[in-house]
Amino acid sequence: MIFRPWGGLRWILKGLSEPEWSLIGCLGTEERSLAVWEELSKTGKLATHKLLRIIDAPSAGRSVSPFTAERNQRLTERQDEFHQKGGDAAVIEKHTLLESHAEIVDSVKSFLAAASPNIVLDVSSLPKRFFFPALKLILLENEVENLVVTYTFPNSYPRVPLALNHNDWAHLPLFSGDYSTSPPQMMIAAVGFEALGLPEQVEHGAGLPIRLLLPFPAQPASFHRSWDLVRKLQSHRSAENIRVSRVDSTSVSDCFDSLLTLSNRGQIPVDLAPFGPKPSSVAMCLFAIATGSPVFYTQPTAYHPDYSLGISTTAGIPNIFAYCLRVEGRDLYSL
Amino acid sequence: MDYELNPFQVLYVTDSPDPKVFVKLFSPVLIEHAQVIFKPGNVVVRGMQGSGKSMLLNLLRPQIRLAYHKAESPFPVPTQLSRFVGAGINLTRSGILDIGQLPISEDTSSDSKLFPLFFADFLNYFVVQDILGSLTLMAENPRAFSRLARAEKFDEFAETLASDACWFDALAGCDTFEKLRSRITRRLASYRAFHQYNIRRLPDEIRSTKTAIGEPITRVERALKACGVIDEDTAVRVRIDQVERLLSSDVLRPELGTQYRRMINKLLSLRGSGVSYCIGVRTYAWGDDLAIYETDDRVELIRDFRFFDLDELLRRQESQKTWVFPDFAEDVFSRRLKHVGIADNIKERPINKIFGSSPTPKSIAEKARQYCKNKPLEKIAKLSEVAPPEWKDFLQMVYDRDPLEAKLASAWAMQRGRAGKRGARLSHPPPRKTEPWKKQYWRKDRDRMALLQIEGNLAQRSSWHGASMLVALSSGNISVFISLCHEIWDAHLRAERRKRPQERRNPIEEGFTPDVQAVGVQTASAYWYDKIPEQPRGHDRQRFVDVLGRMFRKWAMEDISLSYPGHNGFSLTKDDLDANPEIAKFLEEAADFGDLFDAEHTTKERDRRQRVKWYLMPILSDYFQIREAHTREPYYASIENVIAWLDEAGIRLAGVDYSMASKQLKRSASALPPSSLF
Repeated sequence: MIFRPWGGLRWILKGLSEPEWSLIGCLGTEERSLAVWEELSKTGKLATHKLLRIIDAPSAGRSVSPFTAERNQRLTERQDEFHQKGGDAAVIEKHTLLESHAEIVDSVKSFLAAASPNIVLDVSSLPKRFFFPALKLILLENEVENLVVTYTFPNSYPRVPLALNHNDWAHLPLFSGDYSTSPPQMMIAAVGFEALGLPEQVEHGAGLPIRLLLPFPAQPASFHRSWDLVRKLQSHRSAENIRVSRVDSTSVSDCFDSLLTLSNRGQIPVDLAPFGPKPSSVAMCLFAIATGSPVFYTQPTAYHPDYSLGISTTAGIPNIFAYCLRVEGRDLYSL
Repeated sequence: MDYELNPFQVLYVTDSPDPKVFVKLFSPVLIEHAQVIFKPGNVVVRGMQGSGKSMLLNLLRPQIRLAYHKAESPFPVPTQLSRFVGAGINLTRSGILDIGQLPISEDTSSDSKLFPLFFADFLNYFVVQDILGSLTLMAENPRAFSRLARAEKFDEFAETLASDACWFDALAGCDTFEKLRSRITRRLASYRAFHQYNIRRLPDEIRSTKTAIGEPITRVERALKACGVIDEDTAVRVRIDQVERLLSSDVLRPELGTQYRRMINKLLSLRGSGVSYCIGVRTYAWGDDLAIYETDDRVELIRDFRFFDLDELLRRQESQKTWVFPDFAEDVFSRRLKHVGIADNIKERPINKIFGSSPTPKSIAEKARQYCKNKPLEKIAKLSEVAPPEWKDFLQMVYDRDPLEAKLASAWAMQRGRAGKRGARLSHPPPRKTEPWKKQYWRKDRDRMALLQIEGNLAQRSSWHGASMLVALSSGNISVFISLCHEIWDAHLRAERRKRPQERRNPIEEGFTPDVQAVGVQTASAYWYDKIPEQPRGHDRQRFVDVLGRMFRKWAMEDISLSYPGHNGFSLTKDDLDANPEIAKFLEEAADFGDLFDAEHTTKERDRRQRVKWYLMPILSDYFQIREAHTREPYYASIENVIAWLDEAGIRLAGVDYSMASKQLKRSASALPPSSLF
């Protein structure tokens, strides 16, 4: 049994007691996108940092998102807020949502080149298309001694489609899986609010047995939304072929262990589909790195400007969870 | 009869991990029409999403053939066409589309020229590896494959193949079959490792030994025959799945996708190859780029490849006799019932018996009578002061006897007639003797349209039931048909569970009631509507479908003279589509994903310009409460109309001038049909 520390960001930083941390995150439309930067700034431990400003990109020859204009406006406002709070414009780097893998890799590599050995990767507002390769590249870097992933909980999510016009079922950048791995025997999909292209794949895909990771416990409203999706996914598959496992949606460690159990510690080759909460996506990312499993997703081409609302707080302190992935050079998530 | 069991619970046969189940449920009906796939030559299998392309191409996979053997069922491909080694590549799963995502050379400016070459090399190695895998499986199961592959010749084959110049010595020293497989696996693994950033540089041995597209695959086929692994009359058939990803996906930069597609075209153009390629692709995604990579030549239909068009085969043609879908649906239906053991002795064509007949003129009239009971005539025929008293009295008299006939008579009266003026018919007495609204040619298509208006006016929901109507709603898509059966069966089970056992209705013996069918169709229609955004880029298409559906419904309700029974669809000239490629692409993608139904048609206008007509997929008819039939002339739309509809749906296509839309919207109230006389 390995101890994988996770909890409030302040508590984790206190426990690790490193003098400075480099941060890579996202300047997004959501209020929570700047929460970790603010927290680290307050502690005086913030070293080099980079915030990706990612704009929707109309797919080739297709429609411009109905959200684009508002998203761009919100991004400008968020950047103004960043400046007002003392942020340096030079740390903001512009990206487009569907850019090539090489551009994402270059951005992370340039961050790592100037980063301290202690890194915080804030996935709160970073799309999976960016944080999956970022996490992999950071873990590949032996110079990194401590790696903490952070996630800020929002107050709520609006009951509207949070993402639109997803693309085809395809693997995430740098996650096409090892060629030497045997054909998959199972698909493990984490579910959340947005179905995107998952139902189509469940009904019409390769016919693999499916295990769904359902966030539980969760707020009643969130649970109902996820459960509705599970019922939908189950409606046209035989019962023995699609089963549900409950995982703590706040715990990367719990989700990672569930993946180990379901795959017999990586012995059963699996396809991964991270459609659930960010902590479960982080766990899938770590599991995929450890096993060489491919990770599939249907990338939305546009996100709602109000993807989430506000920042969840306790006694006035933002609810930012931090997950230690590497401590003093030791990787905590491995087979 | 088990009142808890729905034979259609699982929509797709691929769901079953048990090959015996797959074999039992798989319908061979299409195979006799799809024999071109198993004959020498390249084939492009086209069809919309869910039309069954993968199901057919799966028959080329040795694993499926083995499943038939294990299930002790004959392989459904005719014996004379089943002597082949099948292999293939799925462009998504294989990881080949990663090529081009990371720079390969130090001089990145040269990468754009190198990427297609690496794409070709990866494809060659992947397919060859799959051929070797198939041969291994065939050799391990000689009885299942009629001893098509001889394992004792494998090493000789490996040595011969490895020494071929096409590999540029990349396979040197592979003197056994296992060494050959291992070396090829290593190369593919290196490609993957590089594109996952597990290694920083693509090994030099790969950079310096890139193979030409298709050449190694051809050499494999020759070596297999030369070494006696397979006989001369055994074919090598290679599947290439998801070619549409090259042109209609954001996974690749467009210019790179075009180069890769041209590389596939080059593969099809190879002369002297004994290998046949089968490409599965959505209909429009095949596109019209037939250029061969780095040449001025193009691949040609017939000479280089043939089409097998599943949509064409399964959609209703002019002649009912040549329409395959009803037989296909009957077979699929029977197999499901037999599989769950609730109808072992089912007769050959159970659909008609179980779902019954679709509405007849008599039943439509009866339904109208029920709805109109105790309702005034004005509820269904919006009469006003303009209508002369003689007509009002006449219609009231007819209404008291037959409300549907009154509706039809009022509609006839409001039409212009041949070259007449609006209201001309009302200026004459009602033609009591000739009763032209009763003539079959006039009533055809208007009976149901009249009922739909009556239902709408009386706040009743239109419903669909009966075998032929279910087949029409399916529109050649077997997935839609199965989902209709699933929802109807579910509705039936819900109704029967509330009854005492001795009162329960056995659908096999007594069929489903129209009411139960109507509920099932309603649920299935909503299911397919909800599915639209689950497909790639589907949110935009769903909003467009919404705009069209609401508009067609409005037109249908406002057309009180029943003049435009075909206006549940619209038509554009091919010239307009050619001049507006972004709009054409949007509409075509909607057809590819099964949201719209398209068909070429000949115009009745004097200009004789070629046109394409577009309808909502029939399964959406219940959701929008519009007719499912595609008869009579559709609305002849201008490109400005379509831009206005796109604009209303909030869809901003690149390169489209939306200022035309706002003008059009202002004009549309008068320009669009129908108009009312009263």
